[in-house]
Amino acid sequence: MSRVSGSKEPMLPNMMLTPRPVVSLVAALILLFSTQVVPAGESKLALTGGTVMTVSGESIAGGVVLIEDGIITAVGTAETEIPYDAMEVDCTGMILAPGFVDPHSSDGLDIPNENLPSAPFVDVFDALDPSRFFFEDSLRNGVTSIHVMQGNNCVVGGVSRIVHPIGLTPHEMSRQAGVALKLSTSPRRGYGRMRQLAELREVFEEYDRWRENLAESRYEQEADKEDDDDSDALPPEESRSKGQELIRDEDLDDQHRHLAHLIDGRLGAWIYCGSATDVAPALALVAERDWKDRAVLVLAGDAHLAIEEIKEAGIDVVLDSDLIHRKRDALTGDVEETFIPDVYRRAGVRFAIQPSRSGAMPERFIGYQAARLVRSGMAPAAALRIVTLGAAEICGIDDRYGSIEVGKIGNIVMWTGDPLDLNSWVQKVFVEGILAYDLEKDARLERLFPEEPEPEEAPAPLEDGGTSEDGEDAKPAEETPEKTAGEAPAEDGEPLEEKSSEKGEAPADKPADPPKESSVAGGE
Amino acid sequence: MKQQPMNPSPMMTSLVRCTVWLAIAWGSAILAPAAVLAAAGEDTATPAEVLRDVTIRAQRAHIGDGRVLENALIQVKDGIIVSVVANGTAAEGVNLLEVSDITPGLIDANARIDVADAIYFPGEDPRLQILRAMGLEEHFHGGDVCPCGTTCPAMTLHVADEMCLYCGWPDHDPHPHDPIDELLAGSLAGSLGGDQAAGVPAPSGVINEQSSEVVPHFEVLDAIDQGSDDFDRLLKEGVTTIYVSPDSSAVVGARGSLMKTGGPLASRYLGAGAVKGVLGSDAYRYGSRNRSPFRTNVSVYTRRPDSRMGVAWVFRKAFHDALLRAKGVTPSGADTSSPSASRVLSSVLAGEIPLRIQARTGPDIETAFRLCGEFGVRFTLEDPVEAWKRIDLLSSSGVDVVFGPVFDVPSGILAGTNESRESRLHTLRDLVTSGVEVSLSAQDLRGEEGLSRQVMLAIRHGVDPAMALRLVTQNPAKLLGIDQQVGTIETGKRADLVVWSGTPFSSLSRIEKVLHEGEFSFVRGGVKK
Repeated sequence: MSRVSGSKEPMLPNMMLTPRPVVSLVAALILLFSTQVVPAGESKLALTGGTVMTVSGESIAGGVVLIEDGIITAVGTAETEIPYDAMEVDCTGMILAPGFVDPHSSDGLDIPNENLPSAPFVDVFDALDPSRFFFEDSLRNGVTSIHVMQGNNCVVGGVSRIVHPIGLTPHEMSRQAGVALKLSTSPRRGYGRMRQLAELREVFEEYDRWRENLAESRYEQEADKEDDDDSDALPPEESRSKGQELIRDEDLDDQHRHLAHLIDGRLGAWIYCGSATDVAPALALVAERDWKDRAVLVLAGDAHLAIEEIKEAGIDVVLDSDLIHRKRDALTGDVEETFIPDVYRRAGVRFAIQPSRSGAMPERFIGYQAARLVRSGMAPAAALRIVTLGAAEICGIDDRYGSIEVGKIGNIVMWTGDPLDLNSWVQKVFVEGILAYDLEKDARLERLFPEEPEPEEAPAPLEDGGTSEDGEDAKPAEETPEKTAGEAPAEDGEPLEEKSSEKGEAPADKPADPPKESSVAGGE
Repeated sequence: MKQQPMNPSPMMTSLVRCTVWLAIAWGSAILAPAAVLAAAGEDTATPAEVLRDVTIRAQRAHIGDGRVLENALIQVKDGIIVSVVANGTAAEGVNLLEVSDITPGLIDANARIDVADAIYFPGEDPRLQILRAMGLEEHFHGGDVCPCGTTCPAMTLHVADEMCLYCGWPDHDPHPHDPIDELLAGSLAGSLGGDQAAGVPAPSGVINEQSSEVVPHFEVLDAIDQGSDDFDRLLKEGVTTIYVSPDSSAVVGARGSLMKTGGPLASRYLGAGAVKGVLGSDAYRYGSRNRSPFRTNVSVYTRRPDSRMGVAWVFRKAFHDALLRAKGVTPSGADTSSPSASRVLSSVLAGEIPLRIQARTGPDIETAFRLCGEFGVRFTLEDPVEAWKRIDLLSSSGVDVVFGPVFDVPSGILAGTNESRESRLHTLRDLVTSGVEVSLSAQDLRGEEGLSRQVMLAIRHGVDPAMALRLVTQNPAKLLGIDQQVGTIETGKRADLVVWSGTPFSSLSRIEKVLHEGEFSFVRGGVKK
């Protein structure tokens, strides 16, 4: 999606919202309060010594990132000049990467969907719950900007926004209101496809009728101002077309305001297609309304089967967190597995991926989701781009997020290793140049996964492998086996043969015990 | 590792018996390289014989016992590894396979697998089966499985022309059940999986054995669908040997089965394993729950045990019955186990058949030690989710542990029990560092969530990579008594090998090829060689 018009304007550092026409009363209130909450900045932060993965350009070993008032003001090598009053954070041995961008999530809301099938007047702002564990976990997993959007179970849903996963109120968390409206061509729960599409059509037909009437009355109002007689009354068609330009923002009522913003380009159209058959109606809607520059398809299920149509339409997509699609042949029972991102990669369709919403452990890390792309053959740099700058582009926020570049917001994650490696841990997270997360102070993680107590005796051979849970000295996994190669593998230092013979006497789960004298030679 | 106190003589008996088993199940080819040559003639019937000879050069061969050989040359003949040398040179003209990293085939010591019953005969109320046999099925309804095909909480069968008070059958639509149950099902369905209806297969396809609480004379092999896709999926993710443990619906359950995941169907079964005991709430809550007769009609579901106390009682009585029968005394009273069960349990008491106990919570782990202490029987601890609470007890007792999966939010079978709430991510690390002999299992998780994923999580959570590999190769092989055949890349072992695209169990590398007894059973992106 090319950026919607609202976000094209440069964002001022201290602004909570983009400076564009106020879209609702609530937004107006936020704007009023915005200068009072979160004194972002007045601070200078210098991250030095780490490897900077800029995503937009080359990585810089031992680089320096300078953040002033929440905005990145310098990215460079170790020679970069550091202001005398900057707080310096030593990142030696760490990797600095832009915070991940979660392109589509309803996890931060108390419930994902409004009960009304068509509720374009609602805003996720009112359902944002800063105390959701989701936000805490996002920081822990290196996600710094989240496109919070209402769920897919709708005909027309509410307005989404970009939030930072830190703050005590929705005001403090919000960074951009009014990003996109959620639509769905997949039947919402309890609906059939015919009803779903009929209601979706009706929403926009009703909007068209309402707007024509509004235009007509606006024309008449303006005409009445000039003279009191009805001598210049025009036929309805003419007054409707002439009145279109006379419609002001304040003429839009709550029911239609967001639809008007969608149609005039201020909001994006994110259309959910839960299966391949829902893609064609979505693309038809996009073509009919000419939304190509603001439409994004949110896909799930077997929607990748419509890849030709999606490719031809040239629309960006956001994939479901379940990246594998399994199709069972009804007759043979054979299961065919498709790794969905491969389909889009081959077709050259720009896509974003989401972390898993099921809570299953590694898929919940968006970095692991990107690692799966690497496993399927994508270059690591390209996979990292998908979950940072790529997602920001699709959300239309790549002017502020997604890479470590001068002028962008200082959302930077300090990793103990490659962000895509499951053995790396998020050490620190800076959001707008402020320390938002520190592994050393993560009380919840300390409870689930406390540090290993210091060994009382001399460390056993296997224990020097560098997998300590604080992650500070985590090394690539292959180093350790090399180091231990040829050493006695048993943790108590006994030769293995002795151990196995001890073991042989123990009545463990042995269904069939082979004779121990069998000549098993050592590997060498 | 602690020396385990035990009586050697029954073990010798079991050794002899087991050797016989092996000889039958595996043929003689496995036992020694000399036997390999002798057996070659017998194996000519195998069509893939030629393919089972392969030479592999690996940049790094992860032996499975903690060692890594650089630039290793592995020669496989007839499905058996005949030599493993570092920096060796391949003979001219051999079919050399160059790979980056190679590990032994993985072993899951607590796999759950699709069973045939679940596929062909989804469970239903046994009374309906009787009525069907009598041709009266149409005349009754109720009893957990409603004629409409869904679950009905009505305890009693109603005559057909009576409307069911619960579901409104035969006029109901769309089956309005007990509103409280509906509510619970709705709110818990996502996170806990909800309660299972009577005999309805769990998501994994495992069915519940509920004829009795003491069934050690059953064997899970009889329920395994040997042609199940599950075996192919396991093989694809590098798991070449599994131990299938029965489900947890009986206090003293069936015996598990040791199986290969590849090769001809007839040769996959390797032998019967341990008797499975279940301590904790699963024994009375899994499947269609045991119900107390309090305030309900007495039905087939009204049975003991109904609490942890009852579970311990049934367990204790089963072994006590076996002791009585050994003395020629016929046991009596409620919950008396069958003579067949007592025969098997006598062998367990004599140390001839191993015992495995599933005890997930801290108190249940303690109960396991207490009960087994009473009868002086050793056991293997299965699925101790809360082992982190009793690390000292586990390490001082020298018990073998089958742990896994690693999780913070449960999925699969563990999502369906209330015993999985207090899991910790450091459990496995603590078990390993305190010297407990641990094997790692994925249970019913498959695909990308399978066993190699568990190793990934183990490494992330503090287990040394070399040790983590042992948790799914050498350790389970030793536990299952097959460490002479599999578990490491060593001369004389079965050529079950997994070829990786890079560092094994890294999130950035994946399984490229799986060899099962020297045959390519999985090749990524290509047809089977």
